[in-house]
Amino acid sequence: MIRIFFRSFILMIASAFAGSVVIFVLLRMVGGDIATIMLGTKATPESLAILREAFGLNRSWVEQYLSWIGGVFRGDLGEAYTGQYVIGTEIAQRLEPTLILTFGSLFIAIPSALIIGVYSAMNFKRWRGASVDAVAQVGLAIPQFFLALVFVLVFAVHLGWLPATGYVSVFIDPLVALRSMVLPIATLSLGITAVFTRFVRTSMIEQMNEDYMRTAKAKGHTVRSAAIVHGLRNSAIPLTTTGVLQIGALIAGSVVVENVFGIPGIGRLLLTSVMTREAITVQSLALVILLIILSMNLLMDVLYGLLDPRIRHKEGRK
Amino acid sequence: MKKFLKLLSFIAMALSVTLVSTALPSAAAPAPGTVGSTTLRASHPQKPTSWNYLQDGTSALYVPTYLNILESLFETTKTGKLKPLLATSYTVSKNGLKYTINLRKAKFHDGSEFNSADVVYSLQKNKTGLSGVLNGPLDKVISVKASGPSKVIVKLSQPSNQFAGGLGKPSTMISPEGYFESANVGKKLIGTGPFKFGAFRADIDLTLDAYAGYWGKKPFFKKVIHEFRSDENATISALKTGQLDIVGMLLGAGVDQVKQFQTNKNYQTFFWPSTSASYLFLNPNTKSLQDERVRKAIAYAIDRQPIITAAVGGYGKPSCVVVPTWTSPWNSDYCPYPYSIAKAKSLLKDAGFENGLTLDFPYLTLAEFPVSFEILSAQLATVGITVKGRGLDIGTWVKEVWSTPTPVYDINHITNNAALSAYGCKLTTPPYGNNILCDPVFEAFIDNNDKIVDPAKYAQAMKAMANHIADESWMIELFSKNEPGIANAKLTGIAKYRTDYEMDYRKIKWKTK
Repeated sequence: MIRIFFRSFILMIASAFAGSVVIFVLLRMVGGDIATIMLGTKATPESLAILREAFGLNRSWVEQYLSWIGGVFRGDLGEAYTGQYVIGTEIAQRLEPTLILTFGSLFIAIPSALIIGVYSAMNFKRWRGASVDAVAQVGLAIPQFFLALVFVLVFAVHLGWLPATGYVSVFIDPLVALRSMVLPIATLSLGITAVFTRFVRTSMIEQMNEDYMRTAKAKGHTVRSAAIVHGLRNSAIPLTTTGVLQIGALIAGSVVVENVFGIPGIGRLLLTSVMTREAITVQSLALVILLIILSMNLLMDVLYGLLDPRIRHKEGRK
Repeated sequence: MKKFLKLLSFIAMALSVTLVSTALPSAAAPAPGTVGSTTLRASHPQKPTSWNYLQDGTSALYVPTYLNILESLFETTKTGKLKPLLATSYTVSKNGLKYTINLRKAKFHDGSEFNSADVVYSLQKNKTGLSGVLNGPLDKVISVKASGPSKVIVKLSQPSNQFAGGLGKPSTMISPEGYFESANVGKKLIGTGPFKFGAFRADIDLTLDAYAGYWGKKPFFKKVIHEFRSDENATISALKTGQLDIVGMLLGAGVDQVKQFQTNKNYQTFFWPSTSASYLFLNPNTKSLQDERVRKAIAYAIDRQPIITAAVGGYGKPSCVVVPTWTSPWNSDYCPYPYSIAKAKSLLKDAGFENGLTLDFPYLTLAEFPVSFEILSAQLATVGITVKGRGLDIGTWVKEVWSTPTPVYDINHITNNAALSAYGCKLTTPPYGNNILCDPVFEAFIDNNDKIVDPAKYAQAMKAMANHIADESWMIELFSKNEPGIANAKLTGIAKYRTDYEMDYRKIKWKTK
């Protein structure tokens, strides 16, 4: 077990390091920099040179990278080029709404997908199952920005039930925070629920043809109870894995959702930082997101080892 | 497993109940958006990249801060006259080279007294600012000296109309002496205005807190939350639900929604007169465009009204002269190449392009530019000019097109508030800048016009300059746009004549009836 942990941990550090290099290089390959954005159409070559010198953008890529990654190892992500904020503090403050949005969506999506997916699988030869599948397809196809606008128009503008935008921290007012997150979570979770539903459905249909299901039925289980007692258990484990792997997709989705709903999360910070070429913030944010995803993967590797004895034994034989 | 399913059902029910209960309107309505509230919520699409105005040239920095937090010596009124702010009056010597400026008593937000040393310091700093908004009008300043605590003498190398006008613009914004060497720089602004720089959340909002020690009339609102919102659909939804009181400027998707508010008595719409010129500019390095017949053909091929209708919601005025502020006395209806497909085709044929011409057209993927590109490409196609579009974000666009000695484009579109003098060949603004196109006639206009002190003669000279640019057709003006904004109908005091770099919160209040 310890071997699994250490191997996964070393792999995670190596992946994070490789990822940071890729992110750094890609950002430098994108046209323009913060100096061109700040001076915009009023720049002169001299003013651009002064600003690049002030921000250290005239140094070589290697120097810039080493300076930044050195800070990362010291636990200091530095300041935004313009000095508007301290990056580490800013990211820490913005993690709260993004994590609530991301994990809130997972929290809604996984149980919903289990219920809908099992129902669909048990009725997969009937119109009811096909209808659920069709609805799931629609859920997959609707773009998040469109869904967000529809939700806002219906539930905020016309019905007036929920706020159209904004976010209040759960530490300040939990009820208002919940109100402000209902529509964003609904938006983000719909697509992912559709993905999971289809996953559960397919997995359950496969499970229902397994030998152990026939055995369960021979022992007196009905189709439904066999599916719920035995089939669902076997489908739930890979679903959890898929769920964790979808965190990256959820964070990517949060960029759109946070922007539409005016949520001060890391998705919105990432978008505006890319647009303004605030490279040091973008690479720090990307590294944090990468570490979150890799940490979840590490956790899954360890949990898998704990849950599945075959993995432990296989690792032990090496 | 049954227990597990029961648990799932319970969670689903609990969530549903919670969501429904939180969705019910709360008894205590939120204060902002309510008549009588002393908090004003406003939005603007641009987010400032920096608070250091010596480094940042974007209007996003000035929008919430100029006049509200930072004050200049004077402010420019609706009629273009100067009204005292931190200065009470000024006199000019007969030769136009010496300005004596008298100052008022005021206090900065940090409690320090405002005096002539702050003006000397600020003007010297502003002259070294990297942006033309700051340093342009101060270009001819050779010295700034204090004459006692409440008087300043500014000497110029030549009479300058730009300096005279700049007294009422951000180029004379005053910060306390030593500010740019302090830890506050880039993080917090300290001025003398009616509002103090409050809480700032990067790319989210800036809170302006009313300043109790303000020298003038105190603003009605104790707090203004100035939000940076780029998604205009979401912004309009927030306005409809009362989460916003003013939507400052609509540039993109929101423009088409303005009409629905014009007929709704709960809202008021207003249109800031543009201080920008929206024009096509052609690359002087492109061989085909060096033939003036091709440039004129492009000018003839453009029908401006459909572009205005589709790209800026109809809120604009066709124009053929590049004059950033359409209320300028030197603006005119002069149009040397009015829309004519026949003339465009004929000129192209004379230039040897009867079989057509292909041009590279990288365009910005924001505001009016994608739509205007579509219409322009269709209009140019009718005369045989094929444009190959490349949508670019602002960072890439600036790098490829603007401020570069080797620009990568043939034809382009921009809306720019730079003064005509910013297009000199020693500067970087295309198409004349970067020494790519040094037109001696245009250069002479730039050198000479600023020296003309008489307003009527100055306007005449500027008109000749604008007409010359139109004749040459390296820059082809399309339109001046009105920038729409929307506000709660119960608000009054919105300065609708203000420019696109000011959201003036000083006099806004709720109507009494």
